Amino acid sequence: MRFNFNSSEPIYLQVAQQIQDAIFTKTYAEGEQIPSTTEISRDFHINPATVLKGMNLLVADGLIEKKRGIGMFVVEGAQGKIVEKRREFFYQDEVVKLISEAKKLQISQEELVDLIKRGF
Amino acid sequence: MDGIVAKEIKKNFSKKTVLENINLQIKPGKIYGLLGRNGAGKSTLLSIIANRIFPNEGNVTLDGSTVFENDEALGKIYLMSERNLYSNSSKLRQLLNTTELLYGDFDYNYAQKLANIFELDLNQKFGKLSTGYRTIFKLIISLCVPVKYVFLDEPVLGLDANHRELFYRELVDNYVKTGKTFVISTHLIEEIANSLEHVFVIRDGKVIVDGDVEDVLENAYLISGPAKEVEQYTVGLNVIGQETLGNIQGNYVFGELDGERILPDTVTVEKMDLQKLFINLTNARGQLK
Amino acid sequence: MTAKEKSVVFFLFKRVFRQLLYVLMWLLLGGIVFPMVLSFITGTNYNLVEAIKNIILGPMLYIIVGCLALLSYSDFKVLIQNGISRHTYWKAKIVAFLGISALSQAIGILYVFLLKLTLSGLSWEKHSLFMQVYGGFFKNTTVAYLMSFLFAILSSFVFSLGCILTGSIFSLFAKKQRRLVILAMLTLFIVAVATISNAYDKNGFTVAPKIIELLNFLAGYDKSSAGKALNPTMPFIDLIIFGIVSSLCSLQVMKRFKVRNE
Repeated sequence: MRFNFNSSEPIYLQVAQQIQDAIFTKTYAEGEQIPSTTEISRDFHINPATVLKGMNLLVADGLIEKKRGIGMFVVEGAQGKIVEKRREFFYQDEVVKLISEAKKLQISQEELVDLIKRGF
Repeated sequence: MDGIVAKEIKKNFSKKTVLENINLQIKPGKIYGLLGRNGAGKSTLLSIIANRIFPNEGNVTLDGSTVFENDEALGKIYLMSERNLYSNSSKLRQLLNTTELLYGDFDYNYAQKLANIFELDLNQKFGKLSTGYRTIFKLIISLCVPVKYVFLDEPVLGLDANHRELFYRELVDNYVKTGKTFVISTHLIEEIANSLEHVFVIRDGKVIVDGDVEDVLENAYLISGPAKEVEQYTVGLNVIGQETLGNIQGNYVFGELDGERILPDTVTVEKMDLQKLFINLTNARGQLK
Repeated sequence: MTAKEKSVVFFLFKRVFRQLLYVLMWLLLGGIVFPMVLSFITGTNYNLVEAIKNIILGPMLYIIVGCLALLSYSDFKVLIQNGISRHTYWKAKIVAFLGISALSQAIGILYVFLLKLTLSGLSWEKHSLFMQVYGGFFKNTTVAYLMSFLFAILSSFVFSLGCILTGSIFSLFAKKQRRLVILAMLTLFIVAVATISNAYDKNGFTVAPKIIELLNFLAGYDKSSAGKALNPTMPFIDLIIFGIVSSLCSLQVMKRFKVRNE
């Protein structure tokens, strides 16, 4: 995990983002335990309440779950959920932006497809 | 009332007013930051809370009863200060024994473990230690002493990067394990910022910010772009600082933005981090409305 | 006493006891070992028995304990760092010095008795002011000894209380100020002496008898007891009153203790 403490994004969002990234890249496989709040707090000097807030976001998203007395585990199917979410995000954010920029540059649909094929 | 409450604290030294009217509450089980520049009155406030000195006016209570001249309340507070109150001729081990005798239940194993981690020989005399190791020794006591409220005044004074890192780790670890309340007073914020849950910022003997770190940062912005547009966009807002680079200007705003105003394409809005906010709030120009 | 107060008493007692042993060790070194070595080097005679006989341990301890009672600020610093209030410090200090006074005087008396048992021709009664003045009051020598012992402990304790008050007053001042205070007190003392002697010169026959009367009263002397042993009730009362006054004053002074910027 790596945190950019100079970033203006709130730390708890960064915590959630980092764990999500790790699940996405299968650093934490489905069904596996993720580091505890304490471990993350200690290693990155983040207030435990902040870390917990970030984790709770992921619990709410159904990506991790709490097993009493043991810790937090990656939910089965979490990775798939993240991929799905990112695909949606990819379209909303990247593709729409790409097309709008292309239109400004007067690149036609065919030309854009060609460009994508070239870069692929 | 729960926790430690400082009420209308005023303190003068000779004729100089050091604390004007301090009101704050420290609730159990949080890590607090007491931030302020050198000479803002942080150490004076902590000395008053730990009853080392008396205020000219005001009172400090712990769970409703005064801490002044109260053994029971004072026994729940440990203040690690820059000033050394331990005798130079005492051996470190002796000082640990004294701490146990007077506070009760001292965690010796943990103290020994910390001494090993920091490579501190407990058979030395306190007076023989360097500034850094005096700090380390006092930190070890702070972490092992069985109190509910630990006040750390400049806890990383004289520590190198490695030791600072070790301390921050142990601090959070100790906090999670014991649920103690920590109040950390410092002017070096960057390294500790993310460990804090709540901050007080003191300036000229007054508390100018008192809130959870997240809430405080929620309304701390940097508005940057061409000088004219930035000025227009931030007019009437609480601008606490300014940066200019040629024609580009950045205005630091602390407080809600005006949602009605239209943000020009050329102007960007970013969030400030605690360090930046602190610098802008406490520098000579920073003003709070 | 609360558990905390007991801990503080223990802490102070241990600390003073260690300091006491330390000072005694040096005195022994300076009073016996050093002259012995010196005489060995210079080749002069050295009489160890005589040297031991000459040690008046009781009064020596009396003074040393008093001096140790002067020290206040360093204890206050450690205690406030450990969450102990000024009031508790005051209480514990008084209890600790009662213990130390009793212990040290007991040692002093034991020393004299041991010397008496082992060395002949020694009479501690001759060295004891109390025995000289009041000893004859008691019909029974054992009672006289006991009262003398009690008086030694009480006076040592009260002397310590006076020293605690003096020391705590000095602790209110920073090092630099302390020098000024000593200077001021010396000046005041000289002025007072000058004024009194001046008054004595002018109307010596009216002031002096009053002072002597007061001293007589405090010592328990009245005209009817002329030539006889005095009644020791009065000196005991003096000590108790002086002790109570100085301990109450020292509480007021200690409550004003604060950590200084030095």
